[in-house]
Amino acid sequence: MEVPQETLDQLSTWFLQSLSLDASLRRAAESSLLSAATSPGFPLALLKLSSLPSVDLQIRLASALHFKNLLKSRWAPTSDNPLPDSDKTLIKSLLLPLLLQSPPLIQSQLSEALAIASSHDFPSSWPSLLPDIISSLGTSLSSGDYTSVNSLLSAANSLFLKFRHSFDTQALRLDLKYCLDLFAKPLLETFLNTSNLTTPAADPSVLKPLLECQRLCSEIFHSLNSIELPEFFEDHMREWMEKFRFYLTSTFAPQVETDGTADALRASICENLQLYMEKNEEEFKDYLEGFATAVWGLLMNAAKSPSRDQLAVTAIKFLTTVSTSVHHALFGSPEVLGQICNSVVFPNLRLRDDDEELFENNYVEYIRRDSEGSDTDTLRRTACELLKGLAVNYREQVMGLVSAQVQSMLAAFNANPAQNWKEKDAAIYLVVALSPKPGATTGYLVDVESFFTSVILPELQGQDPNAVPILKAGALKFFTVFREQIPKPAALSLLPGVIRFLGSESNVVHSYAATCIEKLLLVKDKGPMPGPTARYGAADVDPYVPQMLTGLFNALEMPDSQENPYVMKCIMRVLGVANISVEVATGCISKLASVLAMVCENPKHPLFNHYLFEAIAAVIRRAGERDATVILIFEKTLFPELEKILVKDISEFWSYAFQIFTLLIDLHAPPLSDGYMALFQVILDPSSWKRSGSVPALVRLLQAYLRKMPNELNREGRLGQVLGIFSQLISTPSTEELGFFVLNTVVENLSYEIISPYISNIWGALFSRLQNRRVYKFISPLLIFMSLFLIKYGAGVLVDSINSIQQGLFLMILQQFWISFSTKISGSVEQKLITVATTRLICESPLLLDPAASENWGKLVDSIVQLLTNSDQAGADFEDDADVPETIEYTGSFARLHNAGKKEDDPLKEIHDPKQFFVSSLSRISSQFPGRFGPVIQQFVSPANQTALLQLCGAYNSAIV
Amino acid sequence: MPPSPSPSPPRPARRTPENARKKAYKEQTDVTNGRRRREAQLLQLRKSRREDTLSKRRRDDASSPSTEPESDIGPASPESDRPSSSDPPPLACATDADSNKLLGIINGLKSENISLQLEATIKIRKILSVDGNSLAEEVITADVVARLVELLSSKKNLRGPQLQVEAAWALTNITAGTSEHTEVVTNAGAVPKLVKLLESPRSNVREQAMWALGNIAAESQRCRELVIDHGGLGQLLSQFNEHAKVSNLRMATWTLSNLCFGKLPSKSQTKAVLQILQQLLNSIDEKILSDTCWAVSYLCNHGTDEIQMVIESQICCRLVKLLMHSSPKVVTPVILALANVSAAADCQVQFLIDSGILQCLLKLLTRNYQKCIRNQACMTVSNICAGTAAQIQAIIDAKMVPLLIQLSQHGESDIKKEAIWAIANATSGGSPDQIRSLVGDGCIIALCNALVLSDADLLYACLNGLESILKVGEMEKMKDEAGTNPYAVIMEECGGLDKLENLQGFNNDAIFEKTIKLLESYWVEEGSEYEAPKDPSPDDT
Repeated sequence: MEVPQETLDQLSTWFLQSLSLDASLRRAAESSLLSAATSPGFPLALLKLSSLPSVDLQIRLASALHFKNLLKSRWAPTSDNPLPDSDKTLIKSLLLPLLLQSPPLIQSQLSEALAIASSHDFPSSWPSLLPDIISSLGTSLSSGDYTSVNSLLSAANSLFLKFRHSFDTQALRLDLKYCLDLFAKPLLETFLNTSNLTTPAADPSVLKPLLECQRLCSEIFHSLNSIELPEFFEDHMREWMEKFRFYLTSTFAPQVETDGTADALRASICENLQLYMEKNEEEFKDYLEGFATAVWGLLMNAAKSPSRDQLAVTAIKFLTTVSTSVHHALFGSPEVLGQICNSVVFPNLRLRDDDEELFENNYVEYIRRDSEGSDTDTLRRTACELLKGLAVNYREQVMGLVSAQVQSMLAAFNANPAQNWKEKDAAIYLVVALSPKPGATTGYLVDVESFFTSVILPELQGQDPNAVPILKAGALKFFTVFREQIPKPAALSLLPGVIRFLGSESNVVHSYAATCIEKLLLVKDKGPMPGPTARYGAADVDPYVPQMLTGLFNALEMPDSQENPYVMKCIMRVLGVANISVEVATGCISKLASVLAMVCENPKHPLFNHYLFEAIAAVIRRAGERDATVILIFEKTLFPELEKILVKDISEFWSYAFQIFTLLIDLHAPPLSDGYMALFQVILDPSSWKRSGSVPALVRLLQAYLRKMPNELNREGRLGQVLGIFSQLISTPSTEELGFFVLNTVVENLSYEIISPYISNIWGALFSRLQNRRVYKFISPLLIFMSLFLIKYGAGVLVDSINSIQQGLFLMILQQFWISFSTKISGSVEQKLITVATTRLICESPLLLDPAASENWGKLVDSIVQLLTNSDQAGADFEDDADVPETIEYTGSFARLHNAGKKEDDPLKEIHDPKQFFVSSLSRISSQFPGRFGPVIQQFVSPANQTALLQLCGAYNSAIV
Repeated sequence: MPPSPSPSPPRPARRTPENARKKAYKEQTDVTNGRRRREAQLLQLRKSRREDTLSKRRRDDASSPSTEPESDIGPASPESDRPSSSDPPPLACATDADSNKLLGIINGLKSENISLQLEATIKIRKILSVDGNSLAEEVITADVVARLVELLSSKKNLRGPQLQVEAAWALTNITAGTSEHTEVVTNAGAVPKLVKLLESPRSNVREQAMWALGNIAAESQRCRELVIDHGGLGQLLSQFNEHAKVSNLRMATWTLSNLCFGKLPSKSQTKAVLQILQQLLNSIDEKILSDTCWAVSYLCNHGTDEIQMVIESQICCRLVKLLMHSSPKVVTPVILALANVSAAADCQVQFLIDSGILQCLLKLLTRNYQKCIRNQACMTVSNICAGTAAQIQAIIDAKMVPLLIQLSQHGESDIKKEAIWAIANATSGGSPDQIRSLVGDGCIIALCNALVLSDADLLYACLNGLESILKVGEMEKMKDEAGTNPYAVIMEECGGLDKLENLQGFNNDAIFEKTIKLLESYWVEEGSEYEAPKDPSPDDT
């Protein structure tokens, strides 16, 4: 690889500058690098630079990093601007040797680069790679150079990882076969030779690379065994397993035991045992008992070091698998069960020092782990899973052990609460973890009710919100988890206690208190009412609301909780449920407005911000619905902040602001003030519609204006502006559906006289678009629009206005699209629209009632019946998923505010049952032309649909004569 | 009655033909095409079981053709006395005395005197009949074998047939040895002569010739083709006639089954074979029946064409009945064959259902059959579950679902997986009513428990099943104003949601996307009516 010295010097300079503190220098260097990236040989120059010992390490590292990123974006043949094959070939021949010569920092970058390139090219386009690795491995092993051995193994490991997770295909198996044929034997040799060198008491500096080598061998073992048990591994199972056991049962020099080297190897071995239990239970069964004993022994001696944790997690998972397998009897005797529980499960339930640290320093992470299920890999959780696994086959015994353990933990706590509070915490954790979730049938492993009264209540009733915060948090979590079971009066009597904890200085405790209240308000009872009803209504919570809101807003003042999402969510929930006075409402709005002012400075917490806007909307809606005059006060407080969002162009908040405006307009008594009229101009500006994320909110806002003052549109050419927006939206697939929303809103709210001057433009835009876009995603909303149009203005207006574009156009549309696509429409409101519109078309339109059109008439009947049958089976037909429009793209960025939303309007409220409408209309029209439609139906309606039609007629007691 | 252990299947039956399990892979856009496949077509990485290959058989000194190949060995019997090629018999060194003795025998063999020939041939086959005889290796030379092959055509006088039998016997025992030994025999041109002997009027000659050909056919696909190319198949089929002795029929069936192990060159040959097999399936002789069933199961391994022909030969109904045969030697090949047929098109599967296969499978799965039979039975169920809604209904009506749930939790690991495949298939393809029924039996928990497995194909199938269930849950939700998705709630309660969330870390794009889709569609914000923002920053376009 020859790279001119000037190039290397130039690159060195750029990389040096790219590390500079001077931003302008940095940016200039970055852009130079960017423009050089396409020059031929650039990646090779990077590789060369990163491998030159004479160059400064910082620069080499930057170059290696750049090289890796370049490969990531340009190695794939499908990427934009892929690397030329000549460069790739050179890179492939150079990478491995260079990697082996590099110092660790550079090496890890080049390893990643190798992994990227090999993920595309290995093995078929890189046949030399594995043989090269193997031959270097042999050399390095014989010279005892374990630094190289481990680099090579780690490169090999990255090649084989794909076998763990890919779908099982012939191509994958061919690749795996290739790897096995070449690598299975050298791998075993490496593993065995290295294990012969491993003397447990050897010097740590010798031992460490050896154990690391064995870990890599064990990882590769996992990958190569993932599809099925390969022949070579079955033939040599005993050798592997004996050594695996050796590493599980030996104790090594203290240093490698404490720094985690030995445990990392053991954890990897445990994963292999788990894999064999899952895939090769039969071949593995002779080894099982030995390993169960070994693993269990390992856990009994578990040192409480963090390095042990990962090992303990995988080890316990292995035992859990055994406990639920056909070999569960290994653990079946009372002695073994007792030992597993007492020495493996229970000790691991206690809070660790790092958990305590997390509790104090990072409440968000603590909560995620403690109560939001992201603790699947923590020891506590894993230990509980083992307990549940054992209980599958030995329920009674496990129950006995658990309740004895809970008693003894509580006894220890009671003997010395100050010293032994962690015992109580562990007991709470155990009971919560083993509780079946509400509604489950498996029953409790412990008596929850007595536990609640004797253990949880005293904590919740404690007067000092800052005493032993972890226990308070545990008690609040318990209350939250069992909120359904705790009777209403008891729960209400506990509320003041919970509210007191909103004032705790511990972020976890006041977050849990907020969550507890929030979830309590969501509890539903299955009452005599149709459907469940909320257990706690306004009347229940109103007495507590002032204290709650004070507590909640105070919590937002505490350090690290200014944007606490749990607290804001609770505010939102309380405001959504309670009936608040005008004073409280205006107080809330002004507090919320100041929070809004704060987050506008730097919007960084999406969830918190969402709840904030929900809370604002909740106050406006609930207070405004009772007393419209407060709207004026709200406007005064909120307008400055909302305007700021538009003026300062805080794009994250646009759609929220429009939704709040919409809500204000809806509740506002006309006429609207000047501020709103100015806003109207803003929304009519096409540039406002350029952000697809805020378009749904704009549509709603437009709807609000149209409902409030429909005739405003008719002034100053505003309708033309709206229709301009419409045609812009339908011109790209990602926004076309929104274009139809706008159009539908116009038609729903305006009379035909107002839009008639524009109608030929509208149809023109739609049909010329249709010519290039004959796909369901466009045709479906078009048919819905046409249906809406027909229902609003009548069949005649629809037919005539379309035919005025071009004679006969309507029939063409009907034959090509309406008949064939109307059966595919999804959504109940949409299906109803199409059904009713089609029915009216065949019963009202002279064009269709003309005997010459009987074929179209019959086919339309056929499609209605088909549609009605489809809608009966809604959900049954999963096959059509691919045809249903994907969730409209804006949902990714448009967050609907529940409290600001209106229920989707059904434009056909007066028609309850579209089937009845169809059958009775058909029956009526047939009685006008007796004997005429029977034969048409026979000829053009499919036999299955004829039967269905007959059944429909029977169901509604109508007939076609 | 619980059957006693019997041979393991020769090889795993295919999992699916081209179109089966299609319900599990309905969304083909996000999975690779290779996933619609038959397992038999996938490259095997696993060690071949000793039983996976056909066995050869030596005829020892005491047995006569009319009594021998009735040792109750199926073609795949581990009880076979064939010395395995990987494990050759220990050979003592030949002594000088042995060498002299051998020289005498070889001279006799080469003489033109039929008595000497016969005497020498008998001596040779005696040497070869004893396992581990020190002289065996020295006898098997190109010279000796060539001479033995010549003697197969001996017709000189009344003792000719006896000489033919002895020579064929000797060759039988040589071909029962290693691949190299067999190659010596085939290279010496034995196959056409042995085939010719099938025309002999004497049944013992024909029988010994079949035995030798059976051993040769067991060697390799190339050897089978050699036998067939020399017309061996046609001659063999003509052995099945009303005059044949039972011992001859047994031998012929065994040899035929060995020939069927590989793909037959033409469709017409397969058809002809199936015609004979169809008759043999009614045999009351257990050995004939067992070898016949093995032959059928081998045919079913070759591909969809063969399966189609098996179906057209109308033997499936009989096969279903044979599932309840008292001997596992019969049941094992039958369930292997039916497992393959169950991977065929929906209408063929329907035929199996109409033949009453579900009740038989239920018995196989609940009684104390050996694991390989239960495993294949469970795979058959899972293939049926990949069928039409009516077929899924048949599974439900047969009360199969609670059993599947139980197996998915307490079975051996292979059977657990098959049961989960079945549940995943049924839930993926079931109608809303069926899904409600499946959920009522506990399918959600079974599928959720499977989400910790590491098998990507199975995980994907489970996710599809859960997706169908959750969709039906949405319909329930709509029925119930302000309700929640009841199936999403069950998933949360059984810990399935946690497991689903963990799958986000599974390094497979299709599984990752499906997981995200489920999480985003059904758990936007823990079942409450509020929508949380997914990404509230509007994109600037």
